[in-house]
Amino acid sequence: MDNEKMKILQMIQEGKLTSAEGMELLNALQDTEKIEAAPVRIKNNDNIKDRFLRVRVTGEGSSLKKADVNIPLALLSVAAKFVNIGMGMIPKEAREQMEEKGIDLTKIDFDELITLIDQGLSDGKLVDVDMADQEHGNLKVEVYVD
Amino acid sequence: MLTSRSKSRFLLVRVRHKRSFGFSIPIALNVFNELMEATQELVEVVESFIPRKNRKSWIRHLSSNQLSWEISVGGIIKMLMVLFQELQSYKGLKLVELESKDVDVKVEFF
Repeated sequence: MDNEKMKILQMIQEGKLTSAEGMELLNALQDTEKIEAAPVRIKNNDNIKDRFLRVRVTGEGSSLKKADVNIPLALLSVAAKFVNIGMGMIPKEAREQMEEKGIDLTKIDFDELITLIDQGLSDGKLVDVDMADQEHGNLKVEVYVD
Repeated sequence: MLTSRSKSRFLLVRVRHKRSFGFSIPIALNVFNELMEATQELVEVVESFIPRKNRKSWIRHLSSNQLSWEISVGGIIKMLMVLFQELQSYKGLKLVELESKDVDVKVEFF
């Protein structure tokens, strides 16, 4: 990659490229570097079976001390089935109205959604809130995927 | 939390009041599944007997903006069953664990 950068710089020096063109090429090279450095994630449905959406609430000085809710991510795939069942129950007129507005519930790709959740969060946290209240005490709310 | 992908057999609901009482309700999941299935079939039979013009009163209306759609009671039970059966495939899953000043609640699959 460094050789390519040197070549571009040489071409600018020799006047074969304008500085703007050279800059454009260097930016394109940088983008390629970023893509190559990014870890390749393989879409794997078996992976989601071991992953959970976790909601953790911890409190100090409040009436609620601890709340843990663990939901398997695979339930999203089940939700996809619900959408199909639900679509069957929608009256024809309503379905037509929705299609006119460009809404098609069957097009929601839950696998893609799970992959995005997976890729978009470096620490897996969707929500991380700390609340301090003199009357109700301190509450920490975390929603994450692991 | 360790979970395995084998089928759970029991759902355990534990409720403990810190000052006075506590109880656990073990629910045999095969019995629960049969019960849900029977209820769903029963509801579907009842729904089929309701005259078409009266059926709407048995159907829940959900509306958002101008759009509305209808979901039958049997359909809702069917959806819940699918959801619950997926949850049952996680043996050892602690679904809910709640600790408050007075009451502890745990819902676990075994």
